[in-house]
Amino acid sequence: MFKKPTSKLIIFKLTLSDDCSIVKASLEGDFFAYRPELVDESIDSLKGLKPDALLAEELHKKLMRSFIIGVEELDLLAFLKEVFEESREKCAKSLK
Amino acid sequence: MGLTLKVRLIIDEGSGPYNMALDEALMYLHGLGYSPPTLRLYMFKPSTITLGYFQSVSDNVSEECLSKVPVVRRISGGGAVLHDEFGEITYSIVLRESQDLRNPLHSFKILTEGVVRAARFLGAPAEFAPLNDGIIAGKKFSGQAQARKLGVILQHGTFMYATRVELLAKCLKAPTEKFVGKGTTSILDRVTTISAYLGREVTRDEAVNSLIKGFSEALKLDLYEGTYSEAELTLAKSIEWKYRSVEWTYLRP
Repeated sequence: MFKKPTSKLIIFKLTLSDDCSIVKASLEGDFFAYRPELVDESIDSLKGLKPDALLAEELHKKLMRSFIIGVEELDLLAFLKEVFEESREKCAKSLK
Repeated sequence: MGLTLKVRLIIDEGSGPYNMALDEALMYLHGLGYSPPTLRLYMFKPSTITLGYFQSVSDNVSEECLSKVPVVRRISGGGAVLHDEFGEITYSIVLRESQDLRNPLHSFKILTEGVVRAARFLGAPAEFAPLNDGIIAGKKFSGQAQARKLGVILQHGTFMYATRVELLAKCLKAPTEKFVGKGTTSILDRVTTISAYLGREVTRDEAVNSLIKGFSEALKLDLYEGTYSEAELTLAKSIEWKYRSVEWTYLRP
């Protein structure tokens, strides 16, 4: 979950499979996007991929094309990286 | 906004799906050149919760209210709203994206001036609070949301003249993170109504009249009363199914 005093709320929900690839993803919150369908497409395209910093950057690039309003560009990137990194670590630990 | 703009005014009421379908239809048809720029002032009947496009139902609507109050997902972003049929008027304005409305942040400020001025006409010292709120003495009385298609901007928003805030607080859920920087910890502390601020009951007619005056003066609109065209009603009817569908409402469960 991401929220700053000047930003909108952003919640990223990720479900990973046993091999740590993304099964389900959802970007939620009270932010705005002027091409909302692009946000959905970008999130859908994550299925089957493994979350890492590179994927976070790719996703960020796609999301920026949907004109997200309510969160700073760099904040969003940092948030995505954090979510992906945390999920990856958690999954790796559970595999051990 | 520059020169005076001739804008159709429609005062209306209906269900959530009906209202949301009409807003969407007017945006598309204005984009295609079949509808004039329009200001709608409408009431939700029955009271309805609308969710922002990206919001999940379970994170934002209390279980208690889910079975009692209809929930409709908007095409616009933003937060969840309780449209109280006894104390809230919703407006929607459909305009071409002129130069000064192209920037989203700036456009919120310009278009929200309509509700801000309406509240001031009633005697409340309202102001715009970025990104998309109208506030009175630091508390929110109006929230706005936008969608854009075909070079057209649709902004719709609330005007809480006498909303039952206890019902609102009971129906809407908000994670504590949502209040970061707002100086409050609950919905009840964060919202107000014009009636509550003034300490007297503002009537629906007063609210409607102040909105008409507020929008026409703030945005320099030459408002004329009109009705929907056949094309608008037909398109709205064909879009309404979406807003009635479980798939759309629970797009994000």
